[in-house]
Amino acid sequence: MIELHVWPAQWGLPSMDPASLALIIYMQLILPSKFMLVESVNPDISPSGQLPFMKRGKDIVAPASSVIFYLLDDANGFDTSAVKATINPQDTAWLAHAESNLGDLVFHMFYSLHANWNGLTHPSIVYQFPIPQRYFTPHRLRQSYRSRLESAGLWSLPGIEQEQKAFPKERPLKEKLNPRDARDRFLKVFEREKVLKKARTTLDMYARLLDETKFFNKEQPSLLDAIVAAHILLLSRPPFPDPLLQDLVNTTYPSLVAHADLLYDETLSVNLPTRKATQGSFLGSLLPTVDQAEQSDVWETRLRLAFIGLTLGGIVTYISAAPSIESA
Amino acid sequence: MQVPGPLKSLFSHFPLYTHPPLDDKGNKVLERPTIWVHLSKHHASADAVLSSDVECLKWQAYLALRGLSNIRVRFDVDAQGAIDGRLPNLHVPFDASASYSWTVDNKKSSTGPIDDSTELLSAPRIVEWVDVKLAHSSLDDAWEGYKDEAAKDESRAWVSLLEGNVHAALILSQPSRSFLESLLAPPSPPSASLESIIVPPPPPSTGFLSLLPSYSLTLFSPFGSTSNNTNSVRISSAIREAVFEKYADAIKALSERLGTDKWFLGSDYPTPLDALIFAYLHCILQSSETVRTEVTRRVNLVAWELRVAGTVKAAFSRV
Repeated sequence: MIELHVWPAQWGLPSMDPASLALIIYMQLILPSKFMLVESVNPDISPSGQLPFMKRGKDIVAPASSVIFYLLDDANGFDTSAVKATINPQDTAWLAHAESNLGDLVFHMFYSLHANWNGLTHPSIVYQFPIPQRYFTPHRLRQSYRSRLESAGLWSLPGIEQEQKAFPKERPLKEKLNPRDARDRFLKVFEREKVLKKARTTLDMYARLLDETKFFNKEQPSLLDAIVAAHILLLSRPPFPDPLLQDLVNTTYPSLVAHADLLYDETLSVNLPTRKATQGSFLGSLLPTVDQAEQSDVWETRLRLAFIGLTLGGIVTYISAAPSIESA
Repeated sequence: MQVPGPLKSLFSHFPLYTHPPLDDKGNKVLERPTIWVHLSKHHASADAVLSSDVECLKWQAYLALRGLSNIRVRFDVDAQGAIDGRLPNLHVPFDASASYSWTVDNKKSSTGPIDDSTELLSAPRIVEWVDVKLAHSSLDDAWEGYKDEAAKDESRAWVSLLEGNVHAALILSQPSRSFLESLLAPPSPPSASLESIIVPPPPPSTGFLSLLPSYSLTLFSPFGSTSNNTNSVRISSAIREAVFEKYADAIKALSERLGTDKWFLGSDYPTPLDALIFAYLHCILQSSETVRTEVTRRVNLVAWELRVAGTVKAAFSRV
C-alpha cells in the first residue's frame, strides 16, 4: 500500500504545502485513488527531514522530486508510459522555474506577511503539534524559509494590519505624535508594489505559456500542470487576512485560476483516503534525530562511545578515590 | 635640557631615516578596461584568463559575447576590496560624456585629491556600461535578442534551472572544508548558500521538533560568515541524492535543447543565457568527477563549451 505523508489538510485542499499538494495531484493523475494520505506534522521522521515523503512497503522515498523519479522509473512497476509521452526537454526548465518562483510567492504569502502568519498559517498548524513543540516549532518552520525569501527580496514586508494595537483607546494619542508615519506608510506601499511587480512578471509568463490551451502540453495534464495548479490553488483559495497576491491572481489571471480549478475537479474532488499520523513518543522527538543511513560515520560513533566511556570511567574513578583525599 | 650621555649612545644604535614624500601619480594610468575577478584554478600558467567562480565567469563571458575585446584581467584583488564585497568589478576609464543611470544623482564636483579619472563599476552596472559603449541596448532588440517571446520566457526558465539545480549540485560537489580550515580561512564570498536554493528549504541541523536549537558557526567565527558547509542546515543523504538526480536531469534537458544549434534556443546571436550556460559548463568541467561525468557524456555540450571558450578567452589578456 502506498502511503504519502504530507502536511495537514486545510481550506478544502488536501494539504497546505505546495510541494505536498503538487505531489498529491500528480499521483492522482498517475494512480488514481491507489494511495493513502497520512497527515503528519513531523518532518523529522522523513529521510530528508522534509515532508512530503512516500512509503511503499519497505521503500521510503523523500523528497518530492525523488518520489517523482521513483514513480517514473519502470523498475518499480508503475505504468507511466502515457505520462512519459508528454515530457519534453523544456519541461525540466519550466518545472524548476515554477517550483522556485511560484514557490517564493506562496511562501511569501504564508510565512512572510505578518498578518497572514498571525491570522492564518500559525493558527491552522499550531494545535496539531504536541505540547512542548507547539511553542517553538512553528517559528522554526517560518525561519527555514527566511534565507530563501531574503535572497529573492520577498522577506519581511510590513502588512496591512500590522499596526493594529491591542488597546484601541491608545490610538488617538499616538496618531498625533508621528509625522514620520506618513513616510513609513508610503515606503510600505512602495514595497508592496515591488512584490506585486515581481508576481506579475512571473504570472504573466505562465499565462502566456498556457495561452488558451487546456493544459500546458496540449491535451494531457503533466507534472508542470500539477505544480502550477498546486501553487495557484494555494494562492487563490485560502482565506488570507492580507490578500496581496490573492487579489492579483483572482482578478488579473482568470485563465490560470480556471486551469487550477480544472485540475482540482479532475483530481482532488474525490475523497482521498486519509488518516492522521500516529504520534510517536513526543519525548523521543525532543532529541535531535540521528540519520540511520550515514554509514561513513561508524568511526565517529565508535569514537563518541569511547569518549563517553572514558568520561564516565574517569568520574567513577575520581569519586571512588575522593573520600581518601578528603579524609587526609 | 640635553639627552643624558648613556641614553644618547643607546639611541645612536637606532638612527632616524627620513624618506622623501611618495609620488601621487605613481599608479599606472589605466589604459584599458580592467575586470577584477576571482582566481582561476590554473592561475600559475600565463594564459589563464578565465575565472573559476561562476559569477565572475558569467560576466566575463557576457563582455566577450557582446563583442568587446582587449580587456585586462586582474586576479590579485580580494573580494573584500570590491564594491559590496562581491567580485567581479569592472574598472573603466571615466567617460564624462556618457550619462549612466547612477551619475544622474551625484553631480557633486570633485573634492580635490580623489582621483576620478576612472570609475569602478559593480556587476549590475556592467550591462549599462556595455550598452553605452556599444551604443546599442539589448532592450532595443526585439525580445532581447531571442527568437520570439516564447523563447524569451523560456530563457528565464533555463536561468532558474541553472541557478537552482545545477548550482546546488556544484556547491555540493565541492570538497567540504575541515573545521580548522573554515575557522582560519578568510570569509568566502557571499554566494548563494544551499539553504536558499533547495526548495523546499532543508531542515535545521537538529530537526524541527527537537528541543535543541541549531546554531550556525557564524556565532563563533571572528570574521563573519564562513563557508556554506558550516551553516545550520542538515543536508541529509536523501537530499544530496535528490540534488544530483535533478542535476543529471537538468544536464540531459540542456543537451537535448541545444541539439546542434549554434546558440541556445536557436538565437542568431549570443544572448546572456549563453553566457550563463557557458559559465556553468566551464566550472562543471573543472570540478570533481561526480558532476563532470554528466557533462562529458554529452558531446554537443562539450563541443559547444570548447567553441565558446575560444571566443571568450580571446577577449581578455592578463598583461
